[in-house]
Amino acid sequence: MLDISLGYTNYTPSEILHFLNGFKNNQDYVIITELRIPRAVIAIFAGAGLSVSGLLMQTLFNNPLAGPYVLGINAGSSLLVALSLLTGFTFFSSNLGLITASILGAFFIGLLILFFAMMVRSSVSLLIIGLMIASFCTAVVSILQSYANASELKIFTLWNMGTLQKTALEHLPIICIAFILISISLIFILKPLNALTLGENNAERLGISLRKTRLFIILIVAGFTGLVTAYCGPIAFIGLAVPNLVRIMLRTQNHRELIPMTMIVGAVFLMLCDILIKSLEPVLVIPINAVTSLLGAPFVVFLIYKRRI
Amino acid sequence: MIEFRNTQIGYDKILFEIPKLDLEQGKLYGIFGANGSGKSTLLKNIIGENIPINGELKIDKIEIRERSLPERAKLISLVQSQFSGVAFMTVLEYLKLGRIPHVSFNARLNLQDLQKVEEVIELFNLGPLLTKMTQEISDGERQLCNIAKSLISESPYILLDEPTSFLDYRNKEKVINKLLEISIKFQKCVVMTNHDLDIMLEHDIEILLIDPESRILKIVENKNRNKEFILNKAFFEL
Repeated sequence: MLDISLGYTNYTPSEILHFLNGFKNNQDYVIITELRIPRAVIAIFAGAGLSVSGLLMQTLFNNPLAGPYVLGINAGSSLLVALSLLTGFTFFSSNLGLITASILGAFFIGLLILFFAMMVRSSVSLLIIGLMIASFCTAVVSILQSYANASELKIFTLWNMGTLQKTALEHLPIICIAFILISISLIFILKPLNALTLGENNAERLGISLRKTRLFIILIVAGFTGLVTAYCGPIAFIGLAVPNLVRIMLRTQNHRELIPMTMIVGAVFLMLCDILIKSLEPVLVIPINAVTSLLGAPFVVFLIYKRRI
Repeated sequence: MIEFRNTQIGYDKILFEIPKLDLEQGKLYGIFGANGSGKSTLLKNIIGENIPINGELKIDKIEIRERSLPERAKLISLVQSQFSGVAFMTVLEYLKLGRIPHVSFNARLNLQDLQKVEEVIELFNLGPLLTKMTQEISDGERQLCNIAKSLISESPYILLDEPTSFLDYRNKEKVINKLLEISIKFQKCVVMTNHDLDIMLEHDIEILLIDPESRILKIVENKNRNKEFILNKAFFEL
């Protein structure tokens, strides 16, 4: 609610309700429905989706420093978006094209990771492969950038910084349905996730099929990350920081508790970042990625320092 | 019952052969042999992570390889030699994970599951440990938790890889006595690898000796149940 109220023009909650019930062509109504509500809703989805993706990655790799970034899933989105924006295919330069490109990129990298997941047994190897894929994609993106013209480069750079403002009201139903569907599928991997906290070998001894579990987890992560990255660009650090924060808060490894809490904290965290951005907006404009990194990076350093990983 | 018939154990080459051996319910077995003689490999063969090079290895009349992963998990539990705990996991949570082979996909424990957990906690006097973190408790306490967890899983076969190697004398006694107690009370077939010959000779533990000379694993007969004979056999080359 606070996220909707604050902005260039500030509204009180009662004003918001009043405008929503009032005339549809009113300027305030337009600001709230076209700008504020989509922005707040996407902040909730992006925060929750990225955080829970991070949690799944960390459990799968048994490593608190894993996240969708590490597997290169974000980088895959970036690569395809860069390809479409900077090479100037007409289909991909449309708004819908951008989203398709991003989801395709995430799924493509997800499938690639999946292929390697079936080939190698050790998760550490898989983690290294993910890092390599990520840096490979980033390298290709930087080559594309150096050949792009100024206007294309600007669009891509803005997207690459991450934003919550690009989402329009008419996109919300699709995002909403996709988000809920992926969230429901989380219920089916609660048992494997809990077993995985004891390590892969022990999970297998508890009767868990590693291949199936990995496939499922990577598909879910690709779904969440692709969806969010399409609309918001690559948002950093949420996936890494929030699950760790939640584990410290709850002091548990039970995913029946971790998953809902991670989604809530992730959503709240991203909304807080957004509120911070909006309250600074009259003075200076900062991209969301800068805020999450500014808050997230010291936190991760603190985490490593404290646990001496 | 675990049945071995002309079973050859090893990876690329044969480490040893088991001509005929039946491991029964209600007994505690200790595998004794030099480092590298294949004790842990034998455990891995029993749980189905490795396959015998030749011969039969049947558990309850069926080859373990023919059973699905969930089936195996219900049948056998393995306690590893060292478990250093998991960050942010309490002892209670750890014990509850013993029910994983029985719960459905959503990881929810029903009343029956919780009752089993409660029963074992009482038997092992783990009450005061429950809210502690698995990383914070001592090695001895952790080993008891490991055994409790395998009991919670209700698997009729419990395998342990050197369960006493990191423990002091008192904790060793405690662990061995607990293993004997559960093998008899719950009619479990308990198989462990162990380097501590003295403790195995002192207790009612069947010793399975790997003889590197003949490359054969056999139960040590009562007339040979003394330290000199066993050590001479196990370390013949020295």
